[in-house]
Amino acid sequence: MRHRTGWYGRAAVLSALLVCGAVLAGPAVGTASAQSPLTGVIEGVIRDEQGRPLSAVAVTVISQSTGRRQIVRTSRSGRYLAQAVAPGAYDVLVERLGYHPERVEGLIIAAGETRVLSLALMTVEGDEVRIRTRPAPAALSTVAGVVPSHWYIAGAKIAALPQGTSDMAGLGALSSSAGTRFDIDGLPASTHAVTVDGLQLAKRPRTYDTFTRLASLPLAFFEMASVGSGSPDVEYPGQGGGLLSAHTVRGGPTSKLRVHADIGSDALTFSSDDVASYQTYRAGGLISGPLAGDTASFVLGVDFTRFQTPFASLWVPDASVADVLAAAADHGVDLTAYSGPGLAELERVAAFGRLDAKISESSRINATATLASLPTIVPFNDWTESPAAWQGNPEAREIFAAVTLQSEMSDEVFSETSIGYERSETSRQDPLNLQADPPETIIASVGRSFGSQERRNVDMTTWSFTGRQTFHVRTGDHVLKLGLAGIIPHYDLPWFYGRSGEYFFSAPADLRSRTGRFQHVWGDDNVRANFDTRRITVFAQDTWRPRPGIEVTGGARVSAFRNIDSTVVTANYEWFRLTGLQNTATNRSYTLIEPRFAIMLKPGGGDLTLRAGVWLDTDFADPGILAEVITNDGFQGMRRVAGQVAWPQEPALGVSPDPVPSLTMLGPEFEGPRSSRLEASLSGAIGGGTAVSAGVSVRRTDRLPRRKDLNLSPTVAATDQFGRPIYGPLIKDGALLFAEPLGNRRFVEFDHAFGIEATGESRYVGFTVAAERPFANGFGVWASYTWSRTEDDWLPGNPRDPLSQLNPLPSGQASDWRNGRSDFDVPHRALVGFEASIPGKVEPRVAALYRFQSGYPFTPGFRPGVDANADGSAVNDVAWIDQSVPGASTVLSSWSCLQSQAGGFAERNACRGPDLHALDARLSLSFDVAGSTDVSVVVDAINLIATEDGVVDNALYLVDPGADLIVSPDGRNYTVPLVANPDFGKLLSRFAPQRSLRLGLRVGF
Amino acid sequence: MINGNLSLRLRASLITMCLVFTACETPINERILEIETGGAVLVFLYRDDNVNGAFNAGSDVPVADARFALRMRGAETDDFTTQTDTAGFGMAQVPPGRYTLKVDDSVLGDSLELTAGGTEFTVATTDTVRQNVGIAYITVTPSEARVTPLGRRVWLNGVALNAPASFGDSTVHVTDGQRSIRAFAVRPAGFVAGDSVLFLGRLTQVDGQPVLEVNTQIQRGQQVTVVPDSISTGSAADAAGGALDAALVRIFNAVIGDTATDPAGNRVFTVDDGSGPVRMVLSRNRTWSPINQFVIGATIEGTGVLAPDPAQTSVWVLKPRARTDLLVF
Repeated sequence: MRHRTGWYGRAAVLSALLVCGAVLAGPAVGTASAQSPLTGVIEGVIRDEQGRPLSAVAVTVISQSTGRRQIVRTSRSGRYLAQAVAPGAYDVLVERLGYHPERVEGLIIAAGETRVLSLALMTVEGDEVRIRTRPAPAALSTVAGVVPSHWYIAGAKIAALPQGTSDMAGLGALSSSAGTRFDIDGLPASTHAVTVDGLQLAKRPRTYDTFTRLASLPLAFFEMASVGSGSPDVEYPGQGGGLLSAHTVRGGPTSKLRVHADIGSDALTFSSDDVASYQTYRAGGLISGPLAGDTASFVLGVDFTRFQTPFASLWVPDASVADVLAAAADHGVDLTAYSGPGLAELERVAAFGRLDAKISESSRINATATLASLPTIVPFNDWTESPAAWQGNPEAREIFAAVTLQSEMSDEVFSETSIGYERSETSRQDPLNLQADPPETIIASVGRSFGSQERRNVDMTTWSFTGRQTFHVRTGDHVLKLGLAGIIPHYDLPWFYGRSGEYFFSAPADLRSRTGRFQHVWGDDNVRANFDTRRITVFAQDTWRPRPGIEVTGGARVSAFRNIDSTVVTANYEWFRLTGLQNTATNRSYTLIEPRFAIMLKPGGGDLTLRAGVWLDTDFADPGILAEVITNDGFQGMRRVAGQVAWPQEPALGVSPDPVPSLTMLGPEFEGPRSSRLEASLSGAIGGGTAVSAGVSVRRTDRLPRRKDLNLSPTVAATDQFGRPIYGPLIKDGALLFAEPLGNRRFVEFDHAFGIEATGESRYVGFTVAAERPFANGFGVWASYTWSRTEDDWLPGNPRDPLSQLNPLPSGQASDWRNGRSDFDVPHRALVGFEASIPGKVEPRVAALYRFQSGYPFTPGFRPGVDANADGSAVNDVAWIDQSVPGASTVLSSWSCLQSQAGGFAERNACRGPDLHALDARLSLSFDVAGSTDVSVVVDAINLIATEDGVVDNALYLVDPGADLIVSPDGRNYTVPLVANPDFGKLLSRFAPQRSLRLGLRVGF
Repeated sequence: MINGNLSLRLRASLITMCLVFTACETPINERILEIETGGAVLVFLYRDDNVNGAFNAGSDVPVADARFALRMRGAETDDFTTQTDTAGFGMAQVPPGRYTLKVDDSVLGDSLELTAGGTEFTVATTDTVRQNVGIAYITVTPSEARVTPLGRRVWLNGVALNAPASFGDSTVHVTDGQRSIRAFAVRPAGFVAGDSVLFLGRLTQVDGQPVLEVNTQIQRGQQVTVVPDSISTGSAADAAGGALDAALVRIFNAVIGDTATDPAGNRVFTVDDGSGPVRMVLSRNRTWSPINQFVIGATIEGTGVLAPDPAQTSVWVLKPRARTDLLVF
């Protein structure tokens, strides 16, 4: 029986009460309108100075970036409504004969957001008509979500910020709900969704591939981008985790050319032996203008980028580094890339085009395309999921194209039709060179790891068709939204893990003598996963506005999913004969209902807005898991070799045991993750042009994938000195501890047999306060702080290594050890940005962005290469906290997270790594040349502050290489010789970006 | 203020939402992968009387009411059940995995052992695994037999040194090349000296030496040549301190010092090669012609088996098996 923990239950109840309270509370004056993932809404009431509604007032909404105008008029009640307003910054001009016009500048419209702008016009007395100009009232936009912790960034702000990255992959740094590991609201990248112009892109199989997709989208092409948790609106794609969305820039009636160029080099800063020489270039531009007067416009953009970011040596220097380097050099492998400063690198050539056209009085169409080629991607942070895999990645080519047709079919019916196509190709076909790209190698006694389990040469393709048809129907106080959406992703993926294998050595001397252990997945390199999935959604929603200032939305989506089916999975009859389980059982099709409910209140018609929503999102299954089921069908095999090995080559087949088949299968009713969300926020202006917001977000996500080994022996063969269940005979080899091959298997005909069940659950509660003072009057500041807590019972582990996802204590425990602090539990995140400028002919401007977050948690355990419970995984075991282990008392005394757990197995993620800080800054000088050309010179200082993140040495104990493993006469008790690790909690591998300087030029015509 | 209808509609919406959320919940247990269904194991227990490791309806005997155990690999305990009849016993819903089958010690005692079915086997979900378990008395070599506690029933496996009819007393000497032992009450059968034989019997003691009282006898192999140990007559007289009890030995240059006929009608000579005399007994059931060659003063080179002298303690006699064992000069 599962149960919620106390804090989660309390938070859920509180949030439910908040929602109920919002529902049952009395409304005040105000107004609102329907939401859309493509556009926003501006509405309000225009009155005269006596407060009487004014009809026939012309309200002109003018895009700051394109100059495009949209004119609407007020009704008898003085109300106006500008629908389908593209995301961006706008000026609003309100005019009526006999009244002084009002101009409001800098009104930010986010997709899915309704901005209320109500004004009072002053009567003209005399002949002089004056245009009163004022800045837009401050507001924290929500990008269709409920809690504005999910920061959006408008094009203007994009241009103003120091740009450590210049693409959507860097969006996480702009939200206090996202972490440096690309986690959002306590969930990892595999659960996120990405949309461009409201259309969903295909989910990618791994975090790295998601990163590639985002890195292919330069922010220069977007008017607005956001990071959030999605929306209760039925048009938004359901996703288990976070939602990253972007809206492309549009052309306007005025021709514009914007050019950007950046250059950076160590020659601009200072050279040091500790910092690698780096060179950064970036150049590009956007040209936009009319094609046919006011009826058609275009935008074309290009961006050439080569960003290099220097970082300190991946390995934290210590005495062992020289030994490891020398041992590897003996066999022709150069590891100086790990021991010296290096470069994170992104090379990208991207192009973008958009065409907007008015094809009739009531219809508009736009077509968008983005293309990118990324020949080099070497990320240095945890995007790669494994520090061992940081070197060299395949070239990627990404395409996205979409067409949207918007039609006002009548005064009551508005139609939006969007279709899109996306394609991604990733390949690398270099000759196999294990000297340059060694297999993953772990040296347990010194904690060094390098190389990769994955073959460098890959060739994979993802494409998808997506579309959505929505009808907005206005009937009295109701806006109905009816529609159909679908996405059909196709994947052609190679085998991912274990092909290059994994070497374990006890000490550097063993690497030198090539005495160790090797394991890898042996099989046909041409095995591929070629499959389609599908999601077809029918949705309906009613937004009821009984009176201005109150909006109640209820709706539901019905989604029919199609997973892989048995035709793409090769049946393994031997496994079926042994177990009765079919590896082809994949829950091919299923249908889910996603109800949603939201309310927005604007008490008194002022700037205070109360939003609350409760909704359910369903998502695709992780395509990486589906690919694993297809390729790991029992016709591949695990090969384990011990003793004299051929590092870095694979041991020859003839000198090692035959490969033993392994497979992966899905659990019954396997589905993608499903998130129930309950959010509420209160936001508004507090005077002085400052907007503030406070919100609570509660999420429960279930059906997360949990992995187990179905072929692990169901009996406990022995225990160690701590009572840890051990599933087979243990073999000690120096500092390594391994299970006897097949000694822990239920059926010796198979090695691992992974079952992946949709039984995991994640619980999140977050509280965010945010404030923003708009960029005006020379100074702007914004800040966001999120406190959160995340618990879950699934082990995401390292997605590149399935063995890291196995439960270290699958039996013999009173409760499920996995249920505890999430890998992504980061209690504190804060973001502070500011911009200051001095108006004048040369406008100096300083901007900075500071980010803080708590360190990520980790579990006290062992070094890789220690399979303490003999379950076949040498990367997942947890430590028993025992002061009697030599040296343990010293370690325990300096880690409070250990002291409270003495006498038991360490709780999951009991300890926490160091807090993280980062600071980027920009200085810019702007000139106005000849009255029509804006020139800005910018200097970006990247990583002014950047604390080291990385792989923490979570080994509380080391296996004593000089002592024997003691086995009781009946073989049922082991005493493993252990010593405490004095380096517990320190970084083994680090991601330490160094300061770099970039000079930039921005020219606008 | 929200009017009554509005409030009602909102409440109804909220309740509906809650119901829909609840209805969507799927029990966790329905999503769990388990190897649940079990295979079947049919155990057939028989006494492997011909000790060939397989059931032979003519010679082997099904065993009823025996207790046996299935132990899953890595498990600490056994699950015992009882074989209810001679047709075997089936166990259904055995969790799939690797098992070994053990017959309870109460069945085997210390004299029986498995001759088949004792190895690890796989129980698959969809299979019925038949395990024929043969049990038989332990098989020993003559060397092992000589140190096995007396009274135990064993299969004696070795090479016959003489035919059952050689001495007229149904005694067969059996060797493993190291040690030898006498088997008593061997029925006249088709084996001859040099054939490998298997005798089931009880170990007992005769004339101070272990012997096997045979119940069942099996000829298992073809004739092989056994090379006798060459020893002096003095050593033959005490069987090298007993170590050569029942062994096949050969003496050289032994001079006949005395000749006699015992009460049973056997011819008995005393021969001595200078190391001390030993008595040589020629069975009355065999033909030793020309008998007149065995005269005092004649020199003999002879082969025979050593058997304790019933009349004297720690004294052995040499028993040639046939005339061809002796050369007289």
